[in-house]
Amino acid sequence: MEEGGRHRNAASVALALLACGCAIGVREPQLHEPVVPFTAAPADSELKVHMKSGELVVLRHWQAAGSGDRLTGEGQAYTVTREKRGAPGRHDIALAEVALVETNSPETVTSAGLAIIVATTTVLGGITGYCAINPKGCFGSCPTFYVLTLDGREPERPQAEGFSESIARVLEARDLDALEVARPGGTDVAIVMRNEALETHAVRRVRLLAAPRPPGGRVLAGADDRLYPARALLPPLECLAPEGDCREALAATDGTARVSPADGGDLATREVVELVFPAGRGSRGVAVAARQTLLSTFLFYQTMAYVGRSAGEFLATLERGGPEAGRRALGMARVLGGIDVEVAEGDSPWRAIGSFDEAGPIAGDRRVLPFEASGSGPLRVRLRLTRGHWRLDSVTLADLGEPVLPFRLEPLFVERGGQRDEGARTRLLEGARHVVTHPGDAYRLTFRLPPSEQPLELFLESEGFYYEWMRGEWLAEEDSAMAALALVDPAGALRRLAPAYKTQEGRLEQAFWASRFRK
Amino acid sequence: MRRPGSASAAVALAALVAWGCAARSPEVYGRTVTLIPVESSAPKVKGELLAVDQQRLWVRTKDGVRDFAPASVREVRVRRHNLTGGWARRWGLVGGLVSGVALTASCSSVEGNDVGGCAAVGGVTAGLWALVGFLAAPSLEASSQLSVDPGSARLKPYARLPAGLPKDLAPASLEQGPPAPK
Repeated sequence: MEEGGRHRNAASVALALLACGCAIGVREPQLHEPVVPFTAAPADSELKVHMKSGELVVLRHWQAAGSGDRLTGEGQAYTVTREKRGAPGRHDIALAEVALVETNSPETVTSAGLAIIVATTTVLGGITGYCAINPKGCFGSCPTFYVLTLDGREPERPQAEGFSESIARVLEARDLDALEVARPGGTDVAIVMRNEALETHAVRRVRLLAAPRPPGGRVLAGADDRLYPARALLPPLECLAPEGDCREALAATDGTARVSPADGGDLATREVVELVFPAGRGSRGVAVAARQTLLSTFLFYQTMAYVGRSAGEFLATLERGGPEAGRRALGMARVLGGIDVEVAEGDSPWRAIGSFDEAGPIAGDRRVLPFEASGSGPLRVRLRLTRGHWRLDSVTLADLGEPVLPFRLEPLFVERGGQRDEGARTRLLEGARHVVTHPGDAYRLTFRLPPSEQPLELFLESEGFYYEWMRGEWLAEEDSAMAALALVDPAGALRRLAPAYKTQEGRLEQAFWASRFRK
Repeated sequence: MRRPGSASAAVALAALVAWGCAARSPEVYGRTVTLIPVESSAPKVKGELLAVDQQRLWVRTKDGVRDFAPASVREVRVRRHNLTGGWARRWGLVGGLVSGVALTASCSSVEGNDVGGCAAVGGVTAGLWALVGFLAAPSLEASSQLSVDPGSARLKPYARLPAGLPKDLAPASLEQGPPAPK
């Protein structure tokens, strides 16, 4: 069922409940002289027969008997003090002994007060129930990781950001990031995990993966998280982007990125970058190093702003809906997509070899997309990507070896505020519960590398999810129609949001880095 | 899969709604009435309406069976349902207490959370429930009662003995039964 349809159904159920809740059933008694037939009293309705003696007989099934001077039926008799007289059974009553007959018509009265109470019970009770079952989901957003230099300094920019797409528990995921650093075997590596945003992070695991570099080469992570030794990384011979020659920008992973402006009419507009590499034969891979621009972040924040005061309900719906609802919630990100890579050799046709789709605008990542080269001619590589969505750092050709199994290392120490935090370490090791962090929190994790003759290439594996905090200033943009559009028609939303994004595109990066939250 | 929290809220809501909507067992007693005296200094009287007979209103109160001249009564309020203003206030206080304690406990169970902050979250939530209960009370109180003129024949159907007191029945004998409404 479409998201919009489910919302409509939920709204209908809520309205029905409210309608029932506001309408309170009451009985209005009507008195009749003891002469059948009694007005508005079908034979299967309840009849209260008030006897001249003050006694009462409540009949559930009854009929007139004799020549209309008697009533017979099933029911219960009561004394004048309303104690039960005998067991329920059949009664034959002479109308001459009856003072009055009472029927009751069911009616309803409405009360705005009860509507308020039903609505409050639904909302506050729902939140309380959800939070009691899932405390971290309520009280507990994407952690950043900084690898300390050999002399213990923390770099200005993080080398990795964990599970950026896991914006709700239902989207909890494992993420692998290339740290782009190597360390000698047998040494300790210290990594600082920070929460630098108005988010709540729930981190289940943090592991360091280490694999020996081949002589003069690197180890690269594939899109399937397997690690490949790369003996050489060749820069492109040619590179053509819509703006012209892009060879210099994409030759090496040096932080100099190629980025294009987003389309002013449709944020999903795609572009093509074509590269040429020398011919090769055997196991090859196209290595792409990139990070997202702040387009995806803008869209996420804008969606949260449109949801506004219903953000809690939105997230609860997401959690209830499972992974499929989660994927739908990321609809605009899905439409923007990754960097689709195709290759062709000589005059052979294009073939797709995979996509680079690492989420997050904070730390770049590098992935290799393996393929088998025939050596039949120069290798042509074609990238299809959404304009303004990616900061392309490098696109190189790797000569790959067979995948290797890395050392998978758990943190040896976990420190917070200079003190060992065994509780946090235990949680990260066991993976059964989360380490929950709030804005400004920082944990230092120390890993001990195994002995190795070759320097060890490092990767960070993190697992968890996060919740974005609502900002007071976002509430001014609350717009349920746009929130619904983002969920139901993400492509349409990307067209509607294009002008707004273009007015901010040039200054988003600077503003984002200026907003880091540190204690 | 639905989360249990949502299920429990749904059950609570259904129970609440069912309580308001459900048909009840037969009423064999008279309705609960509140007599508002003409004289402003005189106390209100609450009890079960027994009969309207002999130009008197017969009511079973906590002090026994009493009768009143309709002329001494300005208004008779007849209870129509039990979701009264008092019920709304109790709902707000009990709901607030349960919700506040549950949220405080849940929040405190998360490592790193400040207990004072969690208590504040629980307190604010409890306050919201209570506030809603108190705000809803006047509306429910108004819908739960019907105002009837003490001399009106409309009162009779709400009495235990709508035909009046039987001959030879000592009104005091009607004191028996469950505690009179207070």
